[in-house]
Amino acid sequence: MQKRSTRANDWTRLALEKYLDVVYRLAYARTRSKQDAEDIAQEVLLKLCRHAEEIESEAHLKRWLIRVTVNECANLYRSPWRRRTLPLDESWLAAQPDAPTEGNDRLDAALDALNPDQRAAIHLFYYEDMSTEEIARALNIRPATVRERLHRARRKLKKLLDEGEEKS
Amino acid sequence: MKFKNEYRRRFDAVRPDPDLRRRIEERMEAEMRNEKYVKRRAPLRMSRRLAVALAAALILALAATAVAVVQGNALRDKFAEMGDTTIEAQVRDVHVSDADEDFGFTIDEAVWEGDVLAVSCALRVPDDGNTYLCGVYAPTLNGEVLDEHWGSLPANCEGFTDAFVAGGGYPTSFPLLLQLEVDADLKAREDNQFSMKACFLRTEGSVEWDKVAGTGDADYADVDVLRYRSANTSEEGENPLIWFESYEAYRVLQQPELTPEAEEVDGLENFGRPDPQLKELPPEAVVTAGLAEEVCAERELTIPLNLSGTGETIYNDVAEHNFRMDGYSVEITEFRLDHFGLYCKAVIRPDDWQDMDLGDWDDAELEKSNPLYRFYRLLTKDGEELGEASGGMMVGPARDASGDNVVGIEVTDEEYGAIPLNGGEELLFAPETGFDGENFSYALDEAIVLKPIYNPAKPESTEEPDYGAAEGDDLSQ
Repeated sequence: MQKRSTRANDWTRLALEKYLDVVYRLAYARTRSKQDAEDIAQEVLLKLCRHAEEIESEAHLKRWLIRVTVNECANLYRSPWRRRTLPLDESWLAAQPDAPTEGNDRLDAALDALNPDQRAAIHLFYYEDMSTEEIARALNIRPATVRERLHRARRKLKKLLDEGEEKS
Repeated sequence: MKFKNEYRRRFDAVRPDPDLRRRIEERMEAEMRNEKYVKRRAPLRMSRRLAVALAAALILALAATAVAVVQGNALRDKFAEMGDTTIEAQVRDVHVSDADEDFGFTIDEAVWEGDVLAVSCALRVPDDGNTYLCGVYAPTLNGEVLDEHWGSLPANCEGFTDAFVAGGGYPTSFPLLLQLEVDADLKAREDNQFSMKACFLRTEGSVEWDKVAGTGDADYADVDVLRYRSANTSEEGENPLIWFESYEAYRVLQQPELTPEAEEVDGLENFGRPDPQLKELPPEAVVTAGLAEEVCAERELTIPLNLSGTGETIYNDVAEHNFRMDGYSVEITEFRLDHFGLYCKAVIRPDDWQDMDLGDWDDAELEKSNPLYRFYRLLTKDGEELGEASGGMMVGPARDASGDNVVGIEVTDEEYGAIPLNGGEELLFAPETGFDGENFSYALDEAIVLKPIYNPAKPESTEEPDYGAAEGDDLSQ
């Protein structure tokens, strides 16, 4: 068995201590399910154990974690387990968040209406304070794609939040 | 900042279970010791089960309401809603049907508008508990396959590349509206024969969906996927016959073999590579590709479409196709303002644009080097947003006819639904400059000003400009 380097162990330790919340929140933002977010966080960090030797820096670590988290979220929808249980209209199920915090119903409802990619973009932009270029680099997509997702998400959020305000 | 703060407060409250860290730590340590572990999925919790049951109940309820609107006056209703009696009066009833007790396909109405033929039709599947994929394809006029116009159903109608889900908890019937590009010469004929096919495929009870678009470019995926949409027309009162609340789920037809390493590193980005052969996808290929179990029924309708007596159609063009703005030139290569929306494509060339190799262009560099590289929104001349919140116009590198990047900036098209047809009023394409969670802000002083005019004739198409050469360049040397 090949011995792991101290550096690799440092990355995994750092990821667990500093970035578990980042991974978990991103997974939750995308899946809107605490159960799925837990599963994904676990998978991502286990994958890191196998790839920690490749990590070059903390910035690289963060990018790697974000990217793998998003990919794992996408994989969730492809798993045989999920396929057997979900109808096409996954978004409806996704619209049933686990126990939304009181007072956040309006925001939760609006976020539920976004698709997972849009939610991920919104989360990384507004919560992780990443620029569109940083998001693009982390997800290995074009910055224009990120901006487009943000743009569409904002439009939808604005409409829904406005409607929610009018109703209230 | 309000939205950002609200969002941050919400997600500050989202924390992993304290026990999760410990569980992960144990698994990580085992992993690092190279111990094998059994990957287990947590069992369904009651809340999820309840959600599944509720989802089924809701979908059934929606199905019941959707049946009621399967046939009728989709076009007339749409135009009446817009308060335009002129175009409403031009709608022709055709009402032809090919149906048995199980599967049904009807064409109900047709109307010409400019060079677009709009056709309303409906599909029906049996209420036998099975789930079906169904859709229309191969619309032809006098034997020539018609292209789909922007903004309605899928771009490629020659193959069965887009399907609606019906039955098995989804509505068993639903209306569709097609907008098709038609040569003006054909329109004038009195013996036009319009035909279109419908196909019904049975699929597994729970339709899976692989949403590829999220992990790569949706453009990639569009080429070689069957696109499912739920026929959910439940948005009561919001043009339910035309504007679907659709979920575009992508399923790759040809999935490259992924090594575990590639999958881990690149995830789904290996999906969706274009395959030109799949642009025309016969229904049988959908079955062959494993997306459906069998072709249950195919229907074809042919109807005479003598519309030579149709009244004058409305077509709004822009006053100028080429004009100069401060510091750049604008060419409107396509513009159409009609009852179904606005379609616009513009190519913008800054005067100081530096020729650069865009073979491997970088959006960040482009954005930095050019202030036009932003999202644009359509506004009234007073700065009020127009159209539905369906998106803006993305400014990106232009491409020539062969698809290669060329020097320039292209405003790509988007559909804006339900725009008041007040030809003559100026419209603004203004760059979006910010969003505070409440409102968007725009740079009106940097807006591209469009002046729509009433123009019943289709304008001559403009030559594809050569952006690769500055004026005076001699490319032969």
